Amino acid sequence: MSSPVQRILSDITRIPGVVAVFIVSKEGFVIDKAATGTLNLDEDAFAAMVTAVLGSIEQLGGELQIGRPEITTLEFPGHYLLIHDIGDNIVALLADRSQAVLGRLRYEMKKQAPRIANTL
Amino acid sequence: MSDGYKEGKFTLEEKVALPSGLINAIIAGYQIALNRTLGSGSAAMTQLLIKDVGEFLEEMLEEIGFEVHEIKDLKEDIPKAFKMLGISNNVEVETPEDGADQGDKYVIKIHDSVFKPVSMLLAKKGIAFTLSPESFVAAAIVRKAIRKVRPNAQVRVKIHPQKNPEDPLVIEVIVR
Repeated sequence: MSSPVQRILSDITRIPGVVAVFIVSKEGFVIDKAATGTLNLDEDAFAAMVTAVLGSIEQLGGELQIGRPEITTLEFPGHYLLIHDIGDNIVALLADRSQAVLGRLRYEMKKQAPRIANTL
Repeated sequence: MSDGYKEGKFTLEEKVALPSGLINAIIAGYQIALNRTLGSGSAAMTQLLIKDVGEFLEEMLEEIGFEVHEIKDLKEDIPKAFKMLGISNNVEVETPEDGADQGDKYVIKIHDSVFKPVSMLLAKKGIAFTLSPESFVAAAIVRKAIRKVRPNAQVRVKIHPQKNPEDPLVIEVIVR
């Protein structure tokens, strides 16, 4: 039987275009994940990079005195990567640009992130 | 210089006397820059470095006669490695029961480390010491020993800020 957090992650992967969703601890580990296919990646490196990206954007916000970032959206040629701070952890969502609607992804991130935080 | 130097291999064979102040200044500089650019994200760098430093360290320790593959008792082997590397002659390893629900926990107390000025400086500035060389050495040894029996074990490190010069540097290595 899947855990509550796994059920939420599994729901997220049903959103059109979503390739994978990860929960990453700020210590640099992937805590949980769900994907629509097989992903070939070094999870430790990925977790460290996501944490570092969020950290550097937070520092940038501090330097510019414009506050903390809400959802960080990175646009790659074929993919979006959305990063959302949920306290001690981070939600990272990878989506295929050709199938995903960015507005929907952002909406779902805002909706699901507190649910994930509450279940951890 | 040996061929190792030319090949970019780290070695303990040849001893080059570098002032510890210079090494500490470089470590502190990297840590301050990392904290400035990555903020809380610098904590994640520790995990990546444990893996990379672990590989370098393994070779170096074996070069000076410390058989990483034959680690049996971490309470004895960690202090021995710190001594052999010239980091500290006084290291204690405890395994408290209270962390059992979170995984195996090793509390490593390092007295009079050669890197102590860095941890003192960073504590004063309120900067987390995520690049602590002591933590990489301790975590790499624990990781190597544990992965002999549990190949997928994850090793996490928590470094307590060292505020008083008399206090040891306290590192928690948690294995899950």
